[in-house]
Amino acid sequence: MRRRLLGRASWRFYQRHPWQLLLAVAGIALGVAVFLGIELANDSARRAFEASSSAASEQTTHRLLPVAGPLPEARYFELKTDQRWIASTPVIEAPVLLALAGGQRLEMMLEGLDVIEEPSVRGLSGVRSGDADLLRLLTEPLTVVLPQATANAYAIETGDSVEVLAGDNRHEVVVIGTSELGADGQPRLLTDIATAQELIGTPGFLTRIDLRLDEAAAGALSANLDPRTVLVPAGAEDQILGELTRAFNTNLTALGLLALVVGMFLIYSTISFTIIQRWRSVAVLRAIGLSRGELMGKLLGEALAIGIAGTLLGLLLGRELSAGLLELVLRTLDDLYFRRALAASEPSSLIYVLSALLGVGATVVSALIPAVAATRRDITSASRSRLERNAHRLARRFALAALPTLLLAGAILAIADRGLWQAFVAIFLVIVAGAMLVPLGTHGLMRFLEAPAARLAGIAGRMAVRGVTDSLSRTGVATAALAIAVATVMSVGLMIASFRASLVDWIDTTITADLYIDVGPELDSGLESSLTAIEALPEVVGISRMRVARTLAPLGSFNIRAQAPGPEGYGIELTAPDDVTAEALLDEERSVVVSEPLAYRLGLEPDTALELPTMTGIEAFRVAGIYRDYNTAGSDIVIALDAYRRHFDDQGLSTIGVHLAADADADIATAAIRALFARDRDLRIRSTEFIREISLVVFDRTFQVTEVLRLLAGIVAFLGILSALMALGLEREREFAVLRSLGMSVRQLFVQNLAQTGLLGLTAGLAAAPLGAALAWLLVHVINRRSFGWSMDFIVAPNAVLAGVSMAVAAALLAGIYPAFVGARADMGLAWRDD
Amino acid sequence: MTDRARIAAWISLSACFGLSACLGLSACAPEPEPRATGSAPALSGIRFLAEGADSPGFARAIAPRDYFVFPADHAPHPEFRTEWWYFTGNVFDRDRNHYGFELTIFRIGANAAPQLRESELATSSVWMAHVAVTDTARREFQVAERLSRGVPGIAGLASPDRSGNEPVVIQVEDFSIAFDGDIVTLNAREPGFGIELELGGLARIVPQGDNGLDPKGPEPGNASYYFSAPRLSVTGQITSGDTDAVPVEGAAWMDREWGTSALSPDLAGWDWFALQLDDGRDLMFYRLRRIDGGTSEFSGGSIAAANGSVTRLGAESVELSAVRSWTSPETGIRYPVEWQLRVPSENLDLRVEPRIDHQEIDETVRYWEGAVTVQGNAAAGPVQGIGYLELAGY
Repeated sequence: MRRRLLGRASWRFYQRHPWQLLLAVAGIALGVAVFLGIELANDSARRAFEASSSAASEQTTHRLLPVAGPLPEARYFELKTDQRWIASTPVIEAPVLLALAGGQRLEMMLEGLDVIEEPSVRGLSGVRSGDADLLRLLTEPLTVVLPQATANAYAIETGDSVEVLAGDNRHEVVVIGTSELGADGQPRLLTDIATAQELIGTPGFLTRIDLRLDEAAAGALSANLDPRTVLVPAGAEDQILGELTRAFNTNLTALGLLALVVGMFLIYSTISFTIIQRWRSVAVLRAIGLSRGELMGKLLGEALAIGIAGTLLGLLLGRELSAGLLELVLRTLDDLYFRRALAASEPSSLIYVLSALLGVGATVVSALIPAVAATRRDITSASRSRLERNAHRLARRFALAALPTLLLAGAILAIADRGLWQAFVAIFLVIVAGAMLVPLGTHGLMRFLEAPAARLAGIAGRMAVRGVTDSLSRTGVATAALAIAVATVMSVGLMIASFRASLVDWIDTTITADLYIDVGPELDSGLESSLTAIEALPEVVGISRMRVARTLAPLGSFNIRAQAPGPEGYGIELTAPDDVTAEALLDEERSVVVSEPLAYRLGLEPDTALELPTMTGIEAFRVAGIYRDYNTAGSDIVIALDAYRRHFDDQGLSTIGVHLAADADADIATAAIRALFARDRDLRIRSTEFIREISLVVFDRTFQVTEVLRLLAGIVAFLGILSALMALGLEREREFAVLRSLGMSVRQLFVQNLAQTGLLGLTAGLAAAPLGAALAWLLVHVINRRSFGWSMDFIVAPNAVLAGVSMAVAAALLAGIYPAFVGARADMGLAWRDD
Repeated sequence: MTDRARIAAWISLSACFGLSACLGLSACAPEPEPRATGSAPALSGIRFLAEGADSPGFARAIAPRDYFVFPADHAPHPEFRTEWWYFTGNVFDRDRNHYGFELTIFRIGANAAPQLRESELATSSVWMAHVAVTDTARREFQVAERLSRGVPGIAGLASPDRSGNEPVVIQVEDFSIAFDGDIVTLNAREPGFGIELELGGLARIVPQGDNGLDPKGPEPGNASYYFSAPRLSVTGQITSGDTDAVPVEGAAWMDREWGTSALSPDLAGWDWFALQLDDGRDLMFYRLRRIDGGTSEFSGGSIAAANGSVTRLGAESVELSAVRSWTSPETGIRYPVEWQLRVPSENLDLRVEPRIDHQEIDETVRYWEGAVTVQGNAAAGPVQGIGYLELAGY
């Protein structure tokens, strides 16, 4: 009987306020959906990525690599005739162009392998044995296996011919089968190792040798190694990529959690409104003999029901959302690491359970505080003024608690000075502290605004301002929720803006030349004479030379960029030490400068030593400086080209930078260079603008997923604000009725009401600005640093701050329209009915 | 794990090769099939050759050979599709502990007239080698495989000069067989076991079939060139069961065969006997086993006497009956490992028993190949012997 009564009481309330119910459910649903969506996308991307990494090194334990340049195949012959390291397989990897029948060209990685040795060393994953005639691949010249997806996309069938272009080499090859993605998840053009040598014109050479060795054999091989080769554990590269990926995933998870936290605040404000609104009925229920426990049960049961409904909806929504997010996450990973993860795998169902628990749990916990407050209340004097006094006292207490919270955050950051998770915990603490300051801040701001508002709009202005203060018990939480949501959105925006500005700066510093020529193998012969000719062109003031080579040093794998600077120097911006130039540092013998991410990862500081595998064995180089580098894999060291050539026995060049005179026309210069090389099509010349453009496109794409999350957090915030303000407006129906009967016009009331919500929004926006800036600072200097090792200049872009404040005001105004409308048309009779 | 993976590659290879029926790849169906006996009657053995129809361009063994030419015939014959070097032997250490050993190298050609190619890694053949050691005292059987592309320096003729100078070295990665005059050196080592043996007496060659031309079916050219060196003396070292190498002595058998032949589809496999009797005679007989259990008319063999005379054995001249079977715990296959072999025309009645039952090779191809003892009666009285037995297609 009682239960039915209670149930009916709840039901009636929400029947009268369907929007409230809808918004409460929607708020929870969105919070859960965002969290679930991100986590699902994250998890399946992570699995895909792990699968692709582990596929590549499932059995391979070591790799034999050349110190520089290609690896002579003689090394392979030596391995194969000794039982100790017979489990080895040769590998060639080289980018090629696939020229298709309609003139289309596809860039693709050519992978030459030995189908007989491969399975025992790496596992022939991905090759569809049924589809691909592997014996033909092994023994017939000019046969390839094409990725299934490529074959499908371009309607290439087994038996068709395609042309493979690699530098000067053009070969017609026959497609004899299709494969899944390659061992590491990349679509690859598979061929026999011999065919690969022939296609790219490097007979006698390999890219590397993969081995499966136990510890003893690896040790013995290391001891017997040709000094021009280096044996490295196969996991080294994957491990680095794995770390970067984990950092990226952690970032996303944190954003997902942030959405949930914002959601929780909103759920709290919504639920507490529904309880405060039923002030009277709560008092009545208590008066007719309901115990505190029963009442508590009712309120929590209600919250539970709403939580479950919202969560279920959120789970469905989140599942849909994850599909879209996954695409973005995968693409970001792809952009960041230049490798394609395998098709996403099914995420763990645990995530659903976790999201459901979080959704329902957050709702119930959010309801707990107002429910306790409501049931504690004195049933006889359901006094609003007392409640508000309490609220003001609470606001001061919260504000006092904010300081230790901030100190705790600082302490966490200081103690765990590399931990990413700890950094996120600190960020959450900062958010909480910010939220704690909002109610008192609101109070202060309103006091400050009261006089100007009164001057501006007379009594209506004063009333609007006072209205905010007087309903602090509810507006406080709503404002805090809005402030947090806006601050979050703002901080991500500020971080991206800072990053982008730093990136643009960096690109300008790095790209000193006007044109860049990619050096393929076809340019190797007679390159120097061509370079002299280029330098003699009237448009050209100088050239810079660069060689990029991958190396696997004892500490890990990275790129060596050997540079002979052009007229404008190296184009390197040192972050440490700050009193010298890269030019001066790199002039010293055996010195290198290390990119910031690499230095961060390896813990390198100026004047530490870095061991590199040179042609005479592993040798120590001095880390002379650290430079800023936003290259995605971020693992480069720079060395002077002369020194590189002495130590690494690699005379090749990768890129030539051409510096043009100020008044020179780039197109004319390009044409002249092409003419010099007597080569129109294959010579890749890129302009600085092109590189800059591409870099920014990649950057924007990388942050697309972040932007989407930002937008979602914004929507969650908006819904929360809408529901909170509507509840507030509805609650004040009687107040409006009184005001109306006192002679306020509908329009005045509407404006006053809207002004009040606008003020709430402004407060939230103003509170969000410093909080957002603080969060952005943390994202820039702590999170990005700890995730990727990047440092960047922190720029408070006024646009982002303004946008945040306007967003808060706009959201509040928008959310206030309906309540203002309802309130303005309040039934005057209400004013007199009860009292 | 490794072997599985290798087999997986081999399946792919064989699928296109058309070898699955002849190279005994029933072990290697695309899925790890249940290894029930009595499944598809694909051959699971290796002594016979590829399907002729699939082998355009390869030479055929048509005319009998008046003589084999050495060292040229020790070297590969890439114009034929398939070829092997097959050594089996029984040896003893100083304490008269018995060891059996097998070292075989197979060549499977993919292209009779390969193009000249730029890359030295280019290949037109696949090479496979098995080494097995039977340690009778410890009742252990150990086996290892090498599988490789045919590339000089890794697998095939180690010296590029085919007709030329000795030694003629055939290698598959680190396993090798070196012919130098009358001496053959076998070298194959794995962690824990291996052989390093020198075999003498290569001069005594027994051509099998019709002067070395051994027909495998009714069609002309469906045949192989086949000769044996039935009684080689052995000295050297064997390693087994992780102990140090022990010096051994004993006797070995060499089979050399090459051709471009096909097995008729009604055959299930074969049983091959190579027996060295203490009366100085060496008996080789292979029974081609039909799916219906009968013996193919193309079965055959020989008895070579110590004085050099060779008696050819036709399908009808040998009576074989399985006495006892053994079921492999690994593959579940039942092999008839003990036999009664009668040659009525020679008054021979022999019981052939395995040294140990477990001598199954379960690598890229699967077969049973093991050391045996022989006891029985000849016209002149009791006779004993040693030898090797191969069971394929079970």
